[in-house]
Amino acid sequence: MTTLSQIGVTELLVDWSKGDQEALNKLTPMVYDELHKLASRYLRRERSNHTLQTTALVHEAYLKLVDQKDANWQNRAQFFAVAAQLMRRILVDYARRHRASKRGGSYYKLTLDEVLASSGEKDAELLALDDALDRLAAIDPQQSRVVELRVFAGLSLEETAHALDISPRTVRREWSMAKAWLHKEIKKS
Amino acid sequence: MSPERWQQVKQIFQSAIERSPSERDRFILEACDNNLNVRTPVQSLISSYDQAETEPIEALAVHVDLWIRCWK
Repeated sequence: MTTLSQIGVTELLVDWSKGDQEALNKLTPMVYDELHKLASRYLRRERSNHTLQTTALVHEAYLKLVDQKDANWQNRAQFFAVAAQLMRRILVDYARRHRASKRGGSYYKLTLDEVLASSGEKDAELLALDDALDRLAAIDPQQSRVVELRVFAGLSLEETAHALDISPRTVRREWSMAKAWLHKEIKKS
Repeated sequence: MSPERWQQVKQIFQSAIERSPSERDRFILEACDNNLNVRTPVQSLISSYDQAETEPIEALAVHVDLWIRCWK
């Protein structure tokens, strides 16, 4: 079934691929809302064996928002490029809020397991990655985009190559260097 | 690091990891031609590259479900 929002998002993706920057400005909040809604829904769920991976979440948003009949592989790649950036923002916001809530009397109810698990290390690791990616973007925007797509949208090397319109070999080389550099930067922080 | 120097480091690093570990050191020494501003970051990246292979950054994506649990 094609929904109204699918028509909107698919048309905007097509317009954007033709060079209409205004289409991207309209598209971004629609994708953000959907990703945020999906992430919150997972958050509200009781503890279960269900594991959330950004990959699954971004793919779910794609299936919900984009009419598969009218979208080509370029539109798909562009969708993931936007979604990866937004997913990063959503995760970083959560980590910041979580850290703040632990500092100033939390109103979250955490079970013992969760308290043990939420030592803050994961928040710190994610925030360190976010900072390091900003620094990387300043000296090598393409390499930073490769990481964003791989980590926050879970794209494969080939999918990343499509999304950035570069060869899979270039993606592999960028990814190798980014891993080494980020490993060092995150350890340092 | 300036974007220009980063590109030099990148070129040498990427060529180095395509060589066998035994050839790497000599290749880096020759390619950097005694320029420590390039050689030091290349060598540091190579050592981090070897460590990163045992603790891949891909694991970060898998950790997301754990983060989400902590935030509940």
